[in-house]
Amino acid sequence: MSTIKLETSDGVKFTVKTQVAKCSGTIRTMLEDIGINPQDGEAIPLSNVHSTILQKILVWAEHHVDDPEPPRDDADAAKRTDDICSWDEDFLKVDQRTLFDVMLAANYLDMKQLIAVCCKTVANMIKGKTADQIRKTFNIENDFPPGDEDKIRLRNQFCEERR
Amino acid sequence: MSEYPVLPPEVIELILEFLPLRERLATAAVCKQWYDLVFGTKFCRQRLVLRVEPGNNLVQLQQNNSLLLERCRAMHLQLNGIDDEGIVLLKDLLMANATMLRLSVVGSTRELKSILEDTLPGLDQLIGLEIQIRVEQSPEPEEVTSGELGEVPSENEEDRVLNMISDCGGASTFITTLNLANSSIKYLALKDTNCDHTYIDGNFPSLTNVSMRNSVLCSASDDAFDFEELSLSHFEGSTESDDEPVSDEMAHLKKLCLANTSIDSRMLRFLALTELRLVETKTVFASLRDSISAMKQLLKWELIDVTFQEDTLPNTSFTSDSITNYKFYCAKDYTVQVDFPNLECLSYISTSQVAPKMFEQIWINHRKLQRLSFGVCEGQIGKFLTKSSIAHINNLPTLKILQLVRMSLDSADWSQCRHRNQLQKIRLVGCPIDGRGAQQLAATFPELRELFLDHCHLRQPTDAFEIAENFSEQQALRRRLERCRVSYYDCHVEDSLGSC
Repeated sequence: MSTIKLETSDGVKFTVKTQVAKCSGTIRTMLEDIGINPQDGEAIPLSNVHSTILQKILVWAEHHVDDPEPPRDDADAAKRTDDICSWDEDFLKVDQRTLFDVMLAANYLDMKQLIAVCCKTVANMIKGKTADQIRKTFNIENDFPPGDEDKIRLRNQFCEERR
Repeated sequence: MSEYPVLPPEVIELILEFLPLRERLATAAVCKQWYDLVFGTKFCRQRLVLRVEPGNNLVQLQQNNSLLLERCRAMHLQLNGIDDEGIVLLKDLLMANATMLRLSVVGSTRELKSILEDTLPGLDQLIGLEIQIRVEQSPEPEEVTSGELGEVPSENEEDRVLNMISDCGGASTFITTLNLANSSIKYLALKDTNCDHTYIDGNFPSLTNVSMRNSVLCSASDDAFDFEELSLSHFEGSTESDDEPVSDEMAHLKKLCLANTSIDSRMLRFLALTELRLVETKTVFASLRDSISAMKQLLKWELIDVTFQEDTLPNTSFTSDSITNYKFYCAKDYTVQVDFPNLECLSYISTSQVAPKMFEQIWINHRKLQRLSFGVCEGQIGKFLTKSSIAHINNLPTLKILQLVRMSLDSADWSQCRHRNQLQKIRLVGCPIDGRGAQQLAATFPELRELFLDHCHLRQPTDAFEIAENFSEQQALRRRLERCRVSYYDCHVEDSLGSC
C-alpha cells in the first residue's frame, strides 16, 4: 500500500496511506493535477494545519475512507441535522476551540463530508438560541449601532421559505 | 497557542444552510458579518419568498425592506380585498423588481387584471407564474347568481357566453378576459380561474410547462399549444372537458398529469410521454393497459387513487419494458398486477387486505429493483403473511434502499435476510417495531449506512432505542451500527407499564 508524507505547520511529519490522504480534495488535487510525486519521499507541506488537529482529522479520514460519495444535492437529506452517525458524534465531542480548528483545517483540506458533519453539529448548537446567546456561545462582538438589531427583527416578518 | 479560531465566511455560510429559514433570519441580528451572510447574494437567491397579505402595511414594507426586496427572486401576493392605493404600490413594487424569477398571485379577477396586465410584459426574467382566482366575497345577489351558473353548465355554453358578453357590455360581472403576455415564462399554473368565469388569454411564446386546475387557457394566436409538460385537474367545470380533456395534438408532450378527471375508454395517445401521473382519476382498465403498452418511452408511471370502471379487474398485468419507476397508491382493494422487467424503483401502498399478498410476489417480475417502498395506506397497519416474508428481499439482488410504511415488524424475522452489503438504507415509517427486532435488523445488516425510524411505535424492550428512557449503551442501535446514521423522528416509545 502506497503512503505519502505530510508536514504540518509546526514541522511534524506524518506518514499516511495515500488512499486516506485523498479524502482531502486539496491533497488529491496536489497529487493528481499538479503532479507532486510522493515517491520522492518529500513531504507535502500543510502550512495551515497544526499537528494536533491533523492527527485528529486523520483518525476521521481513516474511519470514513470507504464511505461512498454522498449524493449530490439530495433535497431530502439536505436540511437534516439529526442524522449524524454515532461515531462522528463522539468524534466531535470536543471543546469548541478544537471543533473550530477542525472545521478550519477541513475547509483548508477540502473535506466536504467532514465539513458537513461539523456544520450540522454547530447548527445544532445555534438552533433555538437568541442572537445574544449565539454571540456568547461563539464569542462574537455585537457591532451593530444601537437600535439596528430591532430593525432587522422587524423586517424578517415578511419572509418565508420557498416550499 | 494561536488565538481563538475565527471561521471564514464560507464556512459560516455552510453552517447557516443547515438552519430553517426562521432561525437563519434570526441569526442576522448577531453581528454585521452574519447579517451580510444571511442577506448575501448567494444566500437569498431563489430562496426568499416575499409574501404580501392583505393585513400587511405596504408603505412600511417598501420603506423598510428595500434590501430584502432586491434579494427576493420570488414573490407571493395575496390580494383579496386590496384597495386602489395598494394596487398602485404593488404595481410599483413589481416594476421595480425586474429580476424576479417566480411570481404567484391570488386574488379576484378584477385585482389580477389591474395588477398583471400592465406589469407582466416588463418582467423579462420571469420563469414561473402562478395565478389563483378567489371570488370576491360579496353579499350582493349578483355574485350568488354567477356562482350557481358556474356549477350548472348549460348545453350551449358558448352561446351563453356570447349572450352574456353582449348583454352586459364591458362591465360584465360574468365574463372577464385577462390578457396576459410575457415572453420569458416557461412555467404557468392556473387555479380556479373558471369559478369566476375568467378567460385567460395568454401570449406566452416560451411556455413549456403548464398546470391547470379548474381553468382553461386560450391562446390569442392560432398556433396549437405544444407543451412538454402538462398537468390538469378538476376539469368538470370547463367548457371543453366533456369530450376532450386533452387534445391529441401535443406530439412533444413528455410529462402528463391528470387529476380528478375522467379518461374513460379512450386511449391516451401521447407516444412521446416519459412520465405519466394519474391522480383520483376514473379510467377503464383495458384501455389504460393498451395505452401503457403503446408508450414505448414511458419511464415513470404513477397511479394514485384511481377508480376503475370495471367491477372486477381482469386477471392480466400491465406490461411495459421501458418503465423503471412505478408508484401505486390505492386505498381500495384493487389487485393490480404489473410486469415491468426493467423496474428499478417501486413505491407501493395498498390496503392491509391486498398489500401483504402482493409482497409475496413482488420480486417475481422485478429482479432489477434498487429502491422498494412498500406498505399500507393511512389508518391501517399491514401484517406480513409469515414471519419470514421479509426474506423475500433476498430475491432482489440489487436492492439498495428499502422503505416500509405502516407494516408491523413485531415478529418479522430479519435474520433470514442475506443481503448484507448491498442494502444501504432502511427507512421505517409508522411501523411498530420492538427492541429485539431492531437489534436483529442491526445484526443482519452491519454495513447499513442509514436507518431512519420516522413516526414509528417503538415497543418493548425499548433499551435498544436511544430515545427510550431506559436505553442502555450496550444494547443501543447507534452502538451496534457504528457507521450508520440512525435517526428517530416523531417516534412513540412504549412504556413498560403501558404494554398491557
